[in-house]
Amino acid sequence: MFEKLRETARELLSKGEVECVLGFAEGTLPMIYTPYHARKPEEAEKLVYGPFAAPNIATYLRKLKGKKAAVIVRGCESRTINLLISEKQLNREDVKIIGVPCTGALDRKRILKDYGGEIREARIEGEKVIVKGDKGEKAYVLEEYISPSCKSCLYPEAIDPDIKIDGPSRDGEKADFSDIEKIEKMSPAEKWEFFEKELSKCIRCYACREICPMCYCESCFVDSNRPVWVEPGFDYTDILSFHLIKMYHMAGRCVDCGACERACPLGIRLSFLTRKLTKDMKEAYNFVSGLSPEEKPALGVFSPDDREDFIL
Amino acid sequence: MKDEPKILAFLCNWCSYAGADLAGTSRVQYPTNIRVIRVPCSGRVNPQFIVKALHDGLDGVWISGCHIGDCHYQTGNYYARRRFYVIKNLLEYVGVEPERVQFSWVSASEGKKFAEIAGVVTEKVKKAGKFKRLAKKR
Repeated sequence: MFEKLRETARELLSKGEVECVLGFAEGTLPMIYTPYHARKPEEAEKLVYGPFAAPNIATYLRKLKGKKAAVIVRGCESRTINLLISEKQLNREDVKIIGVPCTGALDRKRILKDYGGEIREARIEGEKVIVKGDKGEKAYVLEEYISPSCKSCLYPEAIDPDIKIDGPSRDGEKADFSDIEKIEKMSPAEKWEFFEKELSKCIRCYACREICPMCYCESCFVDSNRPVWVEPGFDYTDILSFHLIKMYHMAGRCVDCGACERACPLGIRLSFLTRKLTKDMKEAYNFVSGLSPEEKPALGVFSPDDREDFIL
Repeated sequence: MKDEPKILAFLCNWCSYAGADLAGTSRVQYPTNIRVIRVPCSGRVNPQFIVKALHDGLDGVWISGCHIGDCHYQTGNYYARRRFYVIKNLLEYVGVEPERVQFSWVSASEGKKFAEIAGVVTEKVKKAGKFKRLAKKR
């Protein structure tokens, strides 16, 4: 199924159009692909795509700044590239965008939990994920184990790719924010309790920050000691402050790829926050981040008739 | 005094701070719960300040700037308006009572309006009560 992609990558590399093709390859762990730089034509044979690709590939693309590279992207990743270009972190001429179809990324941790043992092998067969391990072979319906961010994805297909690989993709029209609406309707005390339960698991490892393609600041506010925005330690007030400020920084810049959530070692549902941002920006400013490289982030622009109903 | 809520106010130098000044020189009374920090512009107020203020034990935050179109720096309050909308929504979403974070536009000539809004903000924060949840215990 990856023939078309591999052929394209091989051609780009052998013609010398790009220095490397950035994508995913089979890794050492089941159900998760590893980011892969194909630098020689024969290395293109390793390239894959699909629900096992957990991170956002644009995170690695930014580190190739200045080199000509082709990158294999899904919808969210192509929007991240647009944002990085608009924030002058990338040059459009340096990147060749290969769009692949996307059926959503797998929420691997939930399968690990439901399986209840060690999984040694996994593969996708049609609509199902077949896993093998010490509890025998089990099949899981893929759609039920898709990341929440992917379920509310508005643009599953790459935007303006240079090369497009065809295939079945998710339907952006079916984006579902009903669980966010449910939280919005809770009372402040209930909301507090809900988030305390979810976020107090946080061990402040900052995996979410490291994996995020848009968190590229040289020095992060959490490391600042003049002033101390967030104190070290596991006090919930510090954890919440960290997540609130991080989310504020992501407003209008988050493409809601869900990589942070999949990277979280404790399985915190960060998508409850990122999807809220996505929903707010769409509702208040009709803004979806990363639709074009010319577009500025939502908080970097304004309109004289922005909503004002919250001001006294 | 111990049970009185403390409210941190960020007032823009050119309008709201002058409005507060006018309220003072005109001897208009307003609640004493408010602690003022003067900022050059409402656009100077980083939403991180709001989170930090609540984290440091304040019960409410009030930010006031020039009316839209009157910003001393032309566009500062336009940007501020978008930021405030985002942070207010986020705080509300994680369970901070909406009354605790307030925004207003008060001009230099509106001393009376300043006192009125100070009263409204204090009332709202009092209704929500002392804020212990996000305040770090020390």
